[in-house]
Amino acid sequence: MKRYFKRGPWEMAAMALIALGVIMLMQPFALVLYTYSFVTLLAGTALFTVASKFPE
Amino acid sequence: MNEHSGTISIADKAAATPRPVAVRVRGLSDKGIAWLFVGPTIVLLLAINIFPLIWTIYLSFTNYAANRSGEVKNVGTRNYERILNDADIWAAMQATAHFVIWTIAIETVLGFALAYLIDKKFRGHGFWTTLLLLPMMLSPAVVGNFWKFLYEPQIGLFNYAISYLTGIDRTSFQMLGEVSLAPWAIVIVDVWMWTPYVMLICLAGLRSIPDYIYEAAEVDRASPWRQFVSITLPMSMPFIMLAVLFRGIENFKMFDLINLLTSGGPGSTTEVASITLKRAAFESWRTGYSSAFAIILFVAVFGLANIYVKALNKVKQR
Repeated sequence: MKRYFKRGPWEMAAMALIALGVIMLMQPFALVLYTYSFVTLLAGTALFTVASKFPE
Repeated sequence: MNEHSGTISIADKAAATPRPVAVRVRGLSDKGIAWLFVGPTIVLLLAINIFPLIWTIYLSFTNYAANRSGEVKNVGTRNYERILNDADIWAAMQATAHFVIWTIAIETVLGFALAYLIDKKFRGHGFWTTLLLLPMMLSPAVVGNFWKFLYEPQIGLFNYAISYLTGIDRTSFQMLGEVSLAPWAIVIVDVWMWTPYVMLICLAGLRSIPDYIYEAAEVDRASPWRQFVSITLPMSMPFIMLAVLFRGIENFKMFDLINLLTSGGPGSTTEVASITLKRAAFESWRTGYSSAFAIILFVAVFGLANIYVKALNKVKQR
């Protein structure tokens, strides 16, 4: 189980989600992207908080 | 009291401590004493930071209005759904993005360039450093008001200077009154005020680079450009990133300067997220709705700060 929960890749995934969420929140192209930006951001931030407790 | 020396010894001080206090403190473990010192700070932190945050999260799921008494109903995620489907708030987020991206880009480049110049220690560099730092020491209220005068089309110095340099009639454009110019007007004021702050942080970074590294590079016949790219820039990168983080978070929630200069106008061209939030909270009195909006902004800033701190640690380790 420990094999799957390593900090590096999970943190990277969380950071990608956060960055995607911020871009979706502020982009001027599609309202639908803006609509789903908060869920993406929240998922990324929650994942980052959890992943930072995983072993190295 | 030690009569001969005229000073109070530690034993005298201990004896002078009121008995119940002395007994109580003596009875505490090291951990207990540590908690005694840290406790008030934790209580203050909980009262000032954590409680309002939790209360705002609670309010964001209700229809609460601060100017109305009556039953507060739980509305679930309706506030969030409204905000995330509102084209006006989407436009406010775009205005915020324009402001944040341009101010950070210009302030970082200018701030670093100024710090690089000041670090060269030319004659009178102390005087110029003080002069450059003046804008950031001013209150945003003062800066907002005097830039409003500077931007006046009839009497403002800014229009006069542009007219002098380009030959355009000085009354033919209004920096704060035109849809295409107003977003740039607030960018100019923020850059003028906060570039010195970025400069100061970058200067700390440049001054922390030891001279022997440059001396070794010179022995290896590295060109000044090579020294800049391989030594100066990488070694001051943590400081630059720190400045970007601080300014990014500050500008994401920028309110005072924009409120004084344009109040979000003309129309809603410069209505950044914080102005929209203030209007929803204290003009429309939709407290629950504005709480939800505040939580959305908080999550965005918190997420970005996480990424930044991670990146900063990585750069520091290098």
